[in-house]
Amino acid sequence: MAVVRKSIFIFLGSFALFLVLILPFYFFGELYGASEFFSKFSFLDFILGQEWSLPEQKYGALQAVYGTLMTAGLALLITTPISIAAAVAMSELLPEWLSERLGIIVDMIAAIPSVVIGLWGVLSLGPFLSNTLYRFLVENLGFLPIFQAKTLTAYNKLTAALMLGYMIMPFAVSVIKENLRLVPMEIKEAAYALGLTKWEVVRITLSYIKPGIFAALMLALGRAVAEAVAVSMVIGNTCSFSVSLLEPACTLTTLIINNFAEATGTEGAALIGLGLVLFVISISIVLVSRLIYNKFFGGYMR
Amino acid sequence: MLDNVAVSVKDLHVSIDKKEILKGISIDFPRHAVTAIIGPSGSGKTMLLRSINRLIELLPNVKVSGKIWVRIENKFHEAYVLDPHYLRRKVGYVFQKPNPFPHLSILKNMTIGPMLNGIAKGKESLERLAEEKLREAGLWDEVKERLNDAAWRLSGGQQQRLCIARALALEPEIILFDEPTTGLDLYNTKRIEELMVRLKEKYTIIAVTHSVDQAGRIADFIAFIYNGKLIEFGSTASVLKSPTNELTELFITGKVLDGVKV
Amino acid sequence: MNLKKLRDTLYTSLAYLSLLLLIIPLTWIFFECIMKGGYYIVSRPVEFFMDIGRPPGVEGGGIGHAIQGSLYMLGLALLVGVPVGVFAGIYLAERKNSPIAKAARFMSDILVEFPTILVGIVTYIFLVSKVTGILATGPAAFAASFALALIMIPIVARSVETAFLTIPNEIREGAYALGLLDRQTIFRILLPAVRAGVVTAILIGLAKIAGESAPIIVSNGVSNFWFSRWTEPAASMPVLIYVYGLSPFKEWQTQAWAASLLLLLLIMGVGFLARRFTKKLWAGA
Repeated sequence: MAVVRKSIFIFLGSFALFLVLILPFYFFGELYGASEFFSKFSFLDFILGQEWSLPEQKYGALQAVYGTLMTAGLALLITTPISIAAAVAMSELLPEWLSERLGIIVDMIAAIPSVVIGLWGVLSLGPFLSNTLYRFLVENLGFLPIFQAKTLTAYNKLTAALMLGYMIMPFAVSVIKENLRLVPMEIKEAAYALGLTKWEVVRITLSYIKPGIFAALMLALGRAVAEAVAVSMVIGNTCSFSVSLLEPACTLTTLIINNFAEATGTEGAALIGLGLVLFVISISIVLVSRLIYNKFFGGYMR
Repeated sequence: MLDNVAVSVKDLHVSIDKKEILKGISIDFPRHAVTAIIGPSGSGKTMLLRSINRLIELLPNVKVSGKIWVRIENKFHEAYVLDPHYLRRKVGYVFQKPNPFPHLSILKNMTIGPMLNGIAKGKESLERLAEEKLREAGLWDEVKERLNDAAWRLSGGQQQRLCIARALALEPEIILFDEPTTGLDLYNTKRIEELMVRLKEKYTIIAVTHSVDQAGRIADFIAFIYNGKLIEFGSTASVLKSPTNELTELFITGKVLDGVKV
Repeated sequence: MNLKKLRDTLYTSLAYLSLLLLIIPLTWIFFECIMKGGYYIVSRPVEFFMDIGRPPGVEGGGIGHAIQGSLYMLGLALLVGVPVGVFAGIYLAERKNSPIAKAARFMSDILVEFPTILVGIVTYIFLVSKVTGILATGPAAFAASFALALIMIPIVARSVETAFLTIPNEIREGAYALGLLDRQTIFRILLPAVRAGVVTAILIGLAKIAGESAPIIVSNGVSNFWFSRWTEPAASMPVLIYVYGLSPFKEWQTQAWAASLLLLLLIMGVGFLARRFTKKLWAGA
């Protein structure tokens, strides 16, 4: 009888166990796939290699890592103020019915497939920006290294970052909004009782959820790093270390997406090696974010 | 207006969600004295307190009518005409549940109000103000070694005294206490009661309490509120020893149960 | 004091401006999809849904093959992913303190944030690469389906868990009091009670994978034809948008917008359904 009672949980538990094993499975898959490459090339040469060129058999990941960190970092820089401000507007300024409807709109943005955003980036946003903002930047602020461009192009790091910034925004907004909802009314009342104005109260509220905001933005950064298709459509796909935001670049994901289908042998394995780098970056970001969040709940939030 | 009045309430009506909570209250709170507001829970004592510094306006669907005059810098101002932020600075509030900003340091809890309100400028004068007010609240000796600790690490009683000190740091003239010793141990209750009595030298104290005994220990005057109306108001001795209203007598002898209509 | 007011007004306007920045691109995307793509669909409705693409320069053509391919791929992904996700999710809720449940919860929180392109790579390596390929030794539709299934499993599991956790304990106790076995309690009493929640979980998972393109491009590649075999590349809507959108041909770009409109409507429809079901997650009292 006892065996019969337990057996269903053994059945269900095997699926849960499968869930546990997915990530290790991914890791060993990546490792196995890349092993063919790393048996011929040293890991250090790969990770510190300056140049990536498949025809010349040069496999250096550094430019792609640079492109990934630049675009994702810039995207985060764009998202941070806007998503905090939007979350505050929705939860602290607007009446509930309106903020609920805006919440649906935010969910809609989150639901747009990345390839559709990429399509918009390549056909609408990019051309629009190069005729307006980029022209202005090059002509008026061209003396700054970050705004120099040999030729004015619609597809560069800034286009990718603006688009990525928009893609991670709904996620950041809803998590920050959720955090704001957790702030006890007593904290706000205490601030009002000190004669503070609405925005001074908001300032205290935001400082209260600072670890939550930080964790949310870390996860948003992770999503920007992981994004492949949309970035590959607008980044120009030319690897370089150029500091200019208006020059094209490549990222870990764009190299994979553009070359994986045709790549064979060592090339394919090198691309899987890039995947391994992406794996490590992504997992570290998620783990750091969780660490921060747990500390937050371990302290005054309880 | 009378010289010894700090807050004057005239025909105050408050309704929340169209339900009338206060039904025409008129009362003059004396200066430099402790006035205790007593009454069963649900009688509207807290709402009366919150009306004075307009904290009540944070609640949704609140309607306030009637007039409240508050003496600030020896002049009477109409509370609902004044800038609410200025009013709240001058009329401090201590909550039922200790609510320091838990994530901020003890020191920052003390300085953030004066800093944002421009009462003191510069690190040094802010810290001097913090020390002075922590001493006034009788907390300095307990926290002087750990001013940079986050406030949530303090005990409940210490947190409540920090909240009092935080209110003092704005140099208010009137301080409102909303059952400030709820849930605290005897030691902290006693210290806070003593503190309130001591504070009346410099400030006017209005305290809501559900304990008649506590009112007897700390108050110079007692106001008894029942069902949104002021039933009786007078000196502590007269209200407790010879109440003129039957309801008051029933309440102070513990015969009207909380919230039960007679 | 006036300075304070000025500052507060400034902050308030900036907050509203940020909302505007959030809404404008969404509106813009919808506008383009409807004006360019919607127009194409309306002008050639039958061709758009029933036909395959034309070579560049030739007018007309449809995305029938991509719709068909997407349906096949998503169908297989659901077939594999839903049972695994639902069973794992039930375990997470009903054995919530067991070590496996704790580990699975931790892992799925990471998996939800995992780069989907890597999932495509891994299924490629194990299912269809030259060395370890089982049924095929090159890009194939079934590999993409497995990638999509793997992506949806943690999402479905966590949502199903949430649904089961809304069931009050008295229901379980009531079932046990009737002498029911665990198996009967779970499948006869609890599962029907949170039917709507489980449907929501599946819809959320579906909405997530329906728009995925990176894992498909990596493990299935590109196809311009009707679905032939699971071991061959198949067409799909997201990949068609990718290819057509990057092409220099106006005709193809227009069809990319049209396919985007269709995909958007489908995903938002699924999301809308999920929202409707969530409202009656736990109808019992």
